[in-house]
Amino acid sequence: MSVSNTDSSRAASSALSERSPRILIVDDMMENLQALRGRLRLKHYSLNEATSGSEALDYLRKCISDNEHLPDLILLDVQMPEMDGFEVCRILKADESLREIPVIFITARSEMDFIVEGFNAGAVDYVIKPFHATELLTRVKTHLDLKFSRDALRKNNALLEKLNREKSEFMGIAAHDLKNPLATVRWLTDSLKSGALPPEKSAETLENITLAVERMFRLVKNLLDVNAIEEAAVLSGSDNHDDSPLHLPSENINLVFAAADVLANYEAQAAQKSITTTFANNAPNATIRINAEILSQILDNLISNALKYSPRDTTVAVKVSGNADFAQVSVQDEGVGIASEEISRLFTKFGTLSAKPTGGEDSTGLGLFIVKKLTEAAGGSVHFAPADKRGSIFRVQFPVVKRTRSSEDESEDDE
Amino acid sequence: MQTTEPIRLFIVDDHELIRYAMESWMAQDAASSTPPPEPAITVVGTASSGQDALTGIRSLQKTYTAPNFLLIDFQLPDMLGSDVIQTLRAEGIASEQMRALVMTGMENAPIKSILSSGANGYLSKKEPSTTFLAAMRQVFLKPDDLWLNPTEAKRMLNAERSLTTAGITSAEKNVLRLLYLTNEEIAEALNISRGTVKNHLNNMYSKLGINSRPEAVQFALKVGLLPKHHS
Repeated sequence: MSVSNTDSSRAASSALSERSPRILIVDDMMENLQALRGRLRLKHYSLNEATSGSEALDYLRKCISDNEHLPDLILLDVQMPEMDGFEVCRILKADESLREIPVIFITARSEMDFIVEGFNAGAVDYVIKPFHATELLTRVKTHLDLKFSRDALRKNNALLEKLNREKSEFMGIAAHDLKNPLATVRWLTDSLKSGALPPEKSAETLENITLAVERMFRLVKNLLDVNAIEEAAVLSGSDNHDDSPLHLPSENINLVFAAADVLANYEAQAAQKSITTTFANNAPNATIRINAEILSQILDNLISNALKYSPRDTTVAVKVSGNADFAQVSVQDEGVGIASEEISRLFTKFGTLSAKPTGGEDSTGLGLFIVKKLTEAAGGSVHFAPADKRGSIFRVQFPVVKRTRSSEDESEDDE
Repeated sequence: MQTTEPIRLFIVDDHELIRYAMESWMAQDAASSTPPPEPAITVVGTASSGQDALTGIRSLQKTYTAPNFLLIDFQLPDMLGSDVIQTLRAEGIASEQMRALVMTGMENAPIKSILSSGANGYLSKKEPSTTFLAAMRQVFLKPDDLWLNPTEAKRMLNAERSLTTAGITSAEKNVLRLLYLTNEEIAEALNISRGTVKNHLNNMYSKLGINSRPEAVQFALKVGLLPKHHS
């Protein structure tokens, strides 16, 4: 005998609040099943039926193994051959994966001892047959509401716990990483106050204080970025690429111009280390859809990294390329590259590697992690490859905005 | 880029108030920082009509204060500012010697005739002093890049710089700035052939990964190279 499924007209959707509540009815008598079915269908509940305790348990275990939704409520007849309702209920409550489903007994007897035994077995309510339709439906609804509330609470708690853990980690790193530059500032200001510094040192000291403060700003910004990204990811949990997870609007952007823009910002810095920068494009279509700020941040991270880890008198090459479906920016440097055992840690949080910035710049270990998260949120991907002779190539790739047929007509002359 | 040569400015406008206001902007600008912003700007002469402008500028040639920048109103009592520029250019005072920017009070400046007279661009008189100064410095340092009254000067300057990094030449940028016009009109305004205009466009498209004029217009608007409302 198999469990029959008398699904109602309303299709079940995946959202907890939107799908029809599922009820499992367990009764050995066909007429009773029919009567219950008739009543419950009026409320558009999704129904499953079983004619014995063992059939019900088999069905529930199958739901679990098939990764199907379990019922939200079980209506359980007490008087059944082989296994009575109380026994079934006790088994359900002993099973961790089934214990959350509320059980309502259907009983022909109204004696108090009976009812108490039912509650002791773990039931939450009972109805006496022949049952009153309204009474049955009201009790069912009440317990369904309670169950959904419990489910929502549990889900929220799990979410909050996760967010809390992230925040604690965040606080720990922030405190740790800020201590150094703060100590530096304190020491430097003490030196200035003590008057023990010769005057020509003052300007240098003030400059160092400024640098330390800037370092702290950058760190805090990075941490806040990471925090925002992770929070959004935890809360949304979706693969929605239309808007970035930080709920910033996307627009059509020319990737060539964006990359050239960022590179132009670093010209002075590159010159300071006598680094040559080159730029080239051969993508036929460089229009992508992304938030301008986010793209800026991604490219900024890649290019500033390349400059940071490049020795003096080397070249950083920025190339844009692509095909009809994708456009990508690759940034290549001639630094020491990444050791093969460190490649797996490359895009992880705080995964600082053995390579050190060549100009004494600081490295928070968050840059590439941010690049990966932001790029993927925009529907793109990030790749690393070692350069041929020495150095690294980092590539970010995005889907392009396809041209409609009409925009491809280049009218001859007059517009 | 290091330049020690200052801008020697000649201002032409029939409204004395305007001439006076500009002279004080230049003075304020010179005093605004230490050291003063580069290139420095000094006013070497003013005029209130086209004829006086021609006389004044001619007489200053071959002196130490020969003007190398002309800021001239479009609507003068006796002729158009662009006519003055055309005359001077015909007399051999080329862009390399003296840049010229036309100031317009009207909404719809006739870009084509202004450019074909030999001006390096035009400015609306409604623009703030900061834009005037930025425009003058930009045109002085890069005379090949025309100034076509962008919506926001700062954004345009940034866009200029990024386009240079992307390998776009001055000639190509000029065509981009005139994209509202037809190819024929662009050719006329820049004094080049239609074929050259098309070449510049195609080269630019391939450098930027775009392949149609509407795309190019959208792009130029977005980065601030094209003014949002045009004549």
